[in-house]
Amino acid sequence: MSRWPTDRAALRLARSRDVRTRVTRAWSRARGRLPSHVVYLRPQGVVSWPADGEAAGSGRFDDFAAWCAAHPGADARLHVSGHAIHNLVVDADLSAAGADAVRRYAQQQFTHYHGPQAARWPLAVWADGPSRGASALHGVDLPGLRAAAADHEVRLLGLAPAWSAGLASLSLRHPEFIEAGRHALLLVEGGIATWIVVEGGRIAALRQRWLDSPCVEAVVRVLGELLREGPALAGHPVVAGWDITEGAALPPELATSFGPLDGTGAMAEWMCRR
Amino acid sequence: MKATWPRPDFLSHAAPHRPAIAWLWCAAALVVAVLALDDWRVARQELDAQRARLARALQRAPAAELRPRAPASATQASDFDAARAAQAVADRIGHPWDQILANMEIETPAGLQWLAFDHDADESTVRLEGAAGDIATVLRFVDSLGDHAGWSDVVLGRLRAGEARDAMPGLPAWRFELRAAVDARRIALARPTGER
Repeated sequence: MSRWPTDRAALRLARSRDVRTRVTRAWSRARGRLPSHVVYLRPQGVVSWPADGEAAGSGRFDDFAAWCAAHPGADARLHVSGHAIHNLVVDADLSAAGADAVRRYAQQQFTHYHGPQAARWPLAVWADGPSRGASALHGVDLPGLRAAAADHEVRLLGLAPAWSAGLASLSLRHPEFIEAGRHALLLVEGGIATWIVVEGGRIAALRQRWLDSPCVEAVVRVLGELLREGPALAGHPVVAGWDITEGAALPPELATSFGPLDGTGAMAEWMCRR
Repeated sequence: MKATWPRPDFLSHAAPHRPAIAWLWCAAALVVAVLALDDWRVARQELDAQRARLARALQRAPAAELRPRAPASATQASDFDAARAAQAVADRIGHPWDQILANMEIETPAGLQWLAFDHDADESTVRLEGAAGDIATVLRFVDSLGDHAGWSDVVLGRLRAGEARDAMPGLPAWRFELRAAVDARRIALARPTGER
């Protein structure tokens, strides 16, 4: 009996502290004082960078919950590795349809190819001029991400496929990607590669290929297959990527390199829009 | 030239999060807007009614001429100035010269001679110059004059001895100057009794 008032007082104290923390955070957020981060989710773990780019340097964490625990109250813009993404570019005759039609069509297609569980995958549709497409999130537990964020009052500003993160950096460094002609980029994220074909400044195709092993030879092999499959490009394809463990340089007669492929390579430049 | 690349977002399809405080602000703004609208409507009706009354009054009195006149505030101000000037003249006429001099006369002890008296009816200070045989006489006079109603701050300003005896042989040894503040209204009120 005697513990009861003490417990209540402790509860009230904790609650008032909680309210004060929340109010302080809301105020800081309203004044733009809270730090914002770019967070890259991949199978090996989580890498993050401060979004303002002033404090260079990345942080590494085992999973997103650990990241949230280390950054309570922060803002996070998430990018998901291609390992957890399926992509689809809609046929030209469906391009005039609205986002809902594209979403329904994409859901049908993903279900057709990947089975009934695909009907529950979160979808992100996009439009790029007349081009339309959708990405499905199959390898990440979105409610789990939300719960981890809510536990530490992290605000999720966005959750996008990693391939979309660096397109602005790409066209800044390779202006031909926003000019006429057919250009392509291979984004290598360790064992998976995303092939982005851009035609007249619009995304025309998105394909994914698994690498046999994370080595330059595998990248060259995949690149050769992709180049043989599609119509000719206006120039060399650009290769960006990281986590390639064997051999670091690509044959210059085959492709232009966005940055080094070994280690973290061009990861920060691709993820953080400068 | 291309401005933006597509930004697919898995969170964008979810219901947008609007914090409760935003709804609260919206509600408050709506209430203020409704109140302001109502206020404006009432004011508008009142204005219309006044215009109608004015129109009716003008119709009823078509022959009445509109005479230009000074604004009310200007009239009031000039009236106030005139009243104040009249009060000042009355104060000057009613200044209790006789009572001031009488107060001095009553308290002047034997052996004290007056050399100068300086007082303006518009001001509240009196300056006196005199001569006395000893300092105690002067100080007694200062004390007793301060006890009269309307007299205050009677102070000895200057005291001089010596050289005057040779220049003016008949004069006492000490020359002095004193100042006092007088309240003409209180001195005039004390007149009927004639006492302190």
